[in-house]
Amino acid sequence: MDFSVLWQAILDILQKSGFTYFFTATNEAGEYVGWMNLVMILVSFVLLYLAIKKQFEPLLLLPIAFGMLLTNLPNANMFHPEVFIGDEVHSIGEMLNDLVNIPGGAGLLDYLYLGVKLGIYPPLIFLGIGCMTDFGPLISNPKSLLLGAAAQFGIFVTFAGASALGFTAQEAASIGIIGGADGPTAIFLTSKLAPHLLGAIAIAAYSYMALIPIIQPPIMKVLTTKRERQIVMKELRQVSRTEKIIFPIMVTAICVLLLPDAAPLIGCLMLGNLFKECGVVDRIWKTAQNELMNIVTIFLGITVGATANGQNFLKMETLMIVGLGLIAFAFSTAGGVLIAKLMNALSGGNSINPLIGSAGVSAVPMAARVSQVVGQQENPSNFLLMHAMGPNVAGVIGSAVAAGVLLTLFG
Amino acid sequence: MNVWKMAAAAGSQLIGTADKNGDVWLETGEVVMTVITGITIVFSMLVLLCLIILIFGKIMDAASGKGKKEKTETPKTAPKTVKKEKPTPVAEEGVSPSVVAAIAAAISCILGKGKFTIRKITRSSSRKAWGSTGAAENVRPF
Repeated sequence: MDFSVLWQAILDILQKSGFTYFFTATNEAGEYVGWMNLVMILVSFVLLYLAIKKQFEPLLLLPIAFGMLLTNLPNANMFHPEVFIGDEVHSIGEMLNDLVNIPGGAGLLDYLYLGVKLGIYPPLIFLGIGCMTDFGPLISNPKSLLLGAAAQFGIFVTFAGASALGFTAQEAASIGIIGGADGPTAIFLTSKLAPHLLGAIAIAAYSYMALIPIIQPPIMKVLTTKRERQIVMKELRQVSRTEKIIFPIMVTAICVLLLPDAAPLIGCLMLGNLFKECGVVDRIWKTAQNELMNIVTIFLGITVGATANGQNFLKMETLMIVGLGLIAFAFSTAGGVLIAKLMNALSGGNSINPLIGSAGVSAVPMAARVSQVVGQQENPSNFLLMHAMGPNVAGVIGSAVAAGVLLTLFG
Repeated sequence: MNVWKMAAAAGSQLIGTADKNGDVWLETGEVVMTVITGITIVFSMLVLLCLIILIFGKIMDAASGKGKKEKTETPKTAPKTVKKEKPTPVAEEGVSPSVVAAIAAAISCILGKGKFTIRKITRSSSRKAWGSTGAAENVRPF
């Protein structure tokens, strides 16, 4: 009996297996890179643990982590980042041509990633967010918009910091947008300006959004006095249904006329909100906020995770992005709180609780909840939640506008 | 469309230096200008929205105010049909016997065995305990 055939077959399988790749793979320059995939697989395990066990933004972190796992499993060929991410700018036609000509055929994630590359998924997520957002507190207290603007301060501070560290203007803008605390906006802008940083920026943005209850309170407490944190705000006025219906139409018209690049995000956000408020399209309202949003979330998460392959992700610049992202969050929080303090001082010193300023970062409703919790620590009978929801939803508009500005400048 | 590529092709750029890949590199002064421009545009946009919503809110308030006035005039002519309830000895006016019974039951539950006497039931002027509890219950899930 000749066992050499069996032995050869086993050797063949082993040589073609991903396990061999981990220990032998090299890049075009001959450098050993197999270890990078192994490390990224371990990183994906950590993220899966954080999503499942610690429930850090699990709806997105889980698909992101799994996409990361799939893309780093050697020979799976599910995603080919070189088609989309490179030094040279490719047209969509060239990309599709490259996809068709991939030896062995393009992978599932290649096709799904087109939704990110073409800027389809983030606006659809915004459509769902619009369906779930109540702009009543903002319409009732329009000054909240100033807090939503102030909390974009971190975006521009971080843009300056990233530029100083040697990033290009497009990369710096994409890193800065982490300060908007808005995942879809960050993905939308980064996919247009710096797609090679998409994985790092998306993971940094969603991780910090999950860590808002830890990041924000110390900054809020340092910048406010005990007396300010105890301020009880007046009840908000009732907003009529007519106002709620006219609001999304009006905001879309004004924002898009002034800043056309913000149209996909603002337009979809407001369309979703109009679905909700008009009360005559219940079926599509429910679909947009449930089925559609869930489907897009799966596609968006898994493909964004897929961009984080070892050779793209394991770089010093990823660590810099993570550090700069934290700075962006901190400055955005501080900007909101400081402008709220100023508004309070200008209006007599006892009408605006500066804690609602931090909710201007657009992580809805997490940031508003933090304002509520910190406020109640000082005054248990104080309910800031609805007051904080105004700046919170204003922050969504603010970060979309900021993204529009950056896209206009560098897109 | 990449405005930088277009600008570079036209031989003039708004700000910074674009290389052949379309990457834009900024000098320190240009970074500062971009930051100032960005913050100014975001603030201007949201201030404009704020003003428009304020004006819009005033218009809506004025419109609904008229409606309210018209509505408030009608009840004056309506006949008084509400019966005046006799106040219970311990509870202030407006607290119904069923509310008194519910309060007594709640106290009995908390105290357990033994007799007790309710001397006075008055409405608190500050935020009501039940209201606070209800609000706390409602905001907890967020």
